[in-house]
Amino acid sequence: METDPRQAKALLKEARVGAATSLSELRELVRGINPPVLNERGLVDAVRAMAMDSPLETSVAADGELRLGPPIETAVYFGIAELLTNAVKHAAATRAEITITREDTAVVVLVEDNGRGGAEVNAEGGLAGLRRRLAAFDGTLEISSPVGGPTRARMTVPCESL
Amino acid sequence: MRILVAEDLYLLRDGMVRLIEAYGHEVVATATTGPETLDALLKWRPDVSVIDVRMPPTQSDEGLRAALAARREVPGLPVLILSQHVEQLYARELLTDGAGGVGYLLKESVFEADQFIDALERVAAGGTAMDPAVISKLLSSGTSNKRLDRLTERELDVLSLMAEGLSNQAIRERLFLSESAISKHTTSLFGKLGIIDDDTSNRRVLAVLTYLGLTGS
Repeated sequence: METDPRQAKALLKEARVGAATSLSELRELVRGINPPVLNERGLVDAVRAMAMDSPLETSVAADGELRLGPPIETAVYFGIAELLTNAVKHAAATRAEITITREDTAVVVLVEDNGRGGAEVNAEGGLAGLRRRLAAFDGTLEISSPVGGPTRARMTVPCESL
Repeated sequence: MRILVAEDLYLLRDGMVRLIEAYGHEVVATATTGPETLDALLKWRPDVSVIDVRMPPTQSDEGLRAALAARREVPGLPVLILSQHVEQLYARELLTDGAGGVGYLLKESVFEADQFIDALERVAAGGTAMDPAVISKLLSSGTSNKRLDRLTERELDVLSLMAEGLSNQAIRERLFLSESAISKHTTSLFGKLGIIDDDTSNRRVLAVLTYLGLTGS
């Protein structure tokens, strides 16, 4: 600090930025555990909120409000979050389209991106994990992701017919 | 000002009432549930109302719903929404009628008394008060990111504060800028973004928020 104030200043600045980043990461983490908007508004609005926060240009199409059981809602919500993350991290996509529809006895969610494709469901990979989590609700995950893109993911989770 | 305080937690409600009164404003009513809030908004038509998002009976977003419902009946009725967390989605719902007179802040901002009262006064006057957390998310989201590339760091600072709803005067004080510096920055950033600088600061804020994609559908 006394011998090299300039360097000290730079270090302090860095520390402050670091602290601010950790704090906002912590916020995101807490939010990730329990996104309040999911409890407050249900799946469709929660996904709309997620889309607004996403670094991708993301559109959401859904028919009307949709309330599912909380565990299913959570599984589908985080499924979509994971697919969007993959689109950014692995597929270098810039846009994504999310479509949520309710069929007679199932909720169908399509997530498409404009990235470079090549996604595979490996035993160790995130997609296999997602498939397992959906399977707990008798849900399925199908992926079409030719090299060169685009990636299309389709999650289907049965729910009681209305 | 005549103010409604809608908050279900006794300590926070009482604290806000005292704070508001200490600044010489009058609390005309308090409410502790969503339906009570809507009734009070329509009955008293307060100069501004502080409303917690989450209240009984369902502890979801009835405060926000009451505020939106009241503004459909009375366009532009000033409301400042307080929340534990901020969602761009909710900010957009509040701003989308383009009538102004809305605020959306994290609950902890109440503890910055001067700034909180300042935000209340701004909303009462038809302005806006958006939490910095909403604005920073907005600036880093996919669509605005690229378009803001051309701004300098300083211009981004000015844009963020402008989007929060602050006047030039307040921005100057916050950033320690001279009058000529701020006008240089605003002229330059409006030029780069292609927004027409409106003299009235409320309309200017809405123009900025529209540019950033926070209003409209």
